[in-house]
Amino acid sequence: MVKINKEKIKKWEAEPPPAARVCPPGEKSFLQEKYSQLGLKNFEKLKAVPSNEKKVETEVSNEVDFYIREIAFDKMLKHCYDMALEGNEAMGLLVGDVKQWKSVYSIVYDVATASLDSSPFYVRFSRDAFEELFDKLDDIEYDYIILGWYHSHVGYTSFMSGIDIQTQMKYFSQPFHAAIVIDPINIEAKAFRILNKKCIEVPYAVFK
Amino acid sequence: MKISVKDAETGNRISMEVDDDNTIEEIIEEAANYWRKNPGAYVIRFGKKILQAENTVKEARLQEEDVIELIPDPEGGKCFQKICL
Repeated sequence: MVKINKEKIKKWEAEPPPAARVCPPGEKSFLQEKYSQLGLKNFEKLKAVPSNEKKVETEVSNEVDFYIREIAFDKMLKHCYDMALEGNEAMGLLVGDVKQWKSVYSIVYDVATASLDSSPFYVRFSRDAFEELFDKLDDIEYDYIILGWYHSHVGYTSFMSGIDIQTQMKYFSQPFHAAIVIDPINIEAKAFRILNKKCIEVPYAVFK
Repeated sequence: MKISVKDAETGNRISMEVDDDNTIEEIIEEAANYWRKNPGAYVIRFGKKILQAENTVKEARLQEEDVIELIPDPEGGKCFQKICL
């Protein structure tokens, strides 16, 4: 017999959002500074992959409610860059919490990744990599929420492809979820979410 | 025996009564139905281990108050794997 007794809804703690650098859609200077700071150079080694995929129509939002700790942001950029050197996509999970102050916001404290099945056009966790991933999740000492995922497009710009939208709808359909898509060749990192069956590009903010 | 299932995407948990001979698949189906999710889309975490759907509670060595977790298994990119790889 399997019987559900009750559901415990996770409470969102009240806490002001951190002071952060906001990256609105279209802004590149912050990323260029970051690339320089992290020593991500040798762009001639990075191979752009041609793509003619039709882009999903995307709207733009101005409300900032997605905060990313700088260490986690740097890890994502570095991971995507390193994988792009091999011509492949990168991917990982955004791990953090949801808080509320004047409104509800998400806060990514870290990213978790593991070995990948990856090509220039496709990425997912290797089927035997989950214990590696679980090692990382098991070390987290707070009651985390997986707030979304990040992955890279190797030179074919940052947007949500059909398969990305499917993933977002299947796993990350809450208003506090997001997908970060990074193109290390074109130096782009954009955040997206699906709201009311529309793909919305949202600003994000990076804090120390 | 009482265990909990955590939805990693929201942090919500449900507590459940299960028996030693219940399978992980039965537990996950019940939880996924409750949350209106596709039970086959998730990987099940118990500490550092993956739980296999066909295993029973006893085989998985679940004990009172243990927590198992639904972990998303995202796919990204330009097209489906069978076309790309």
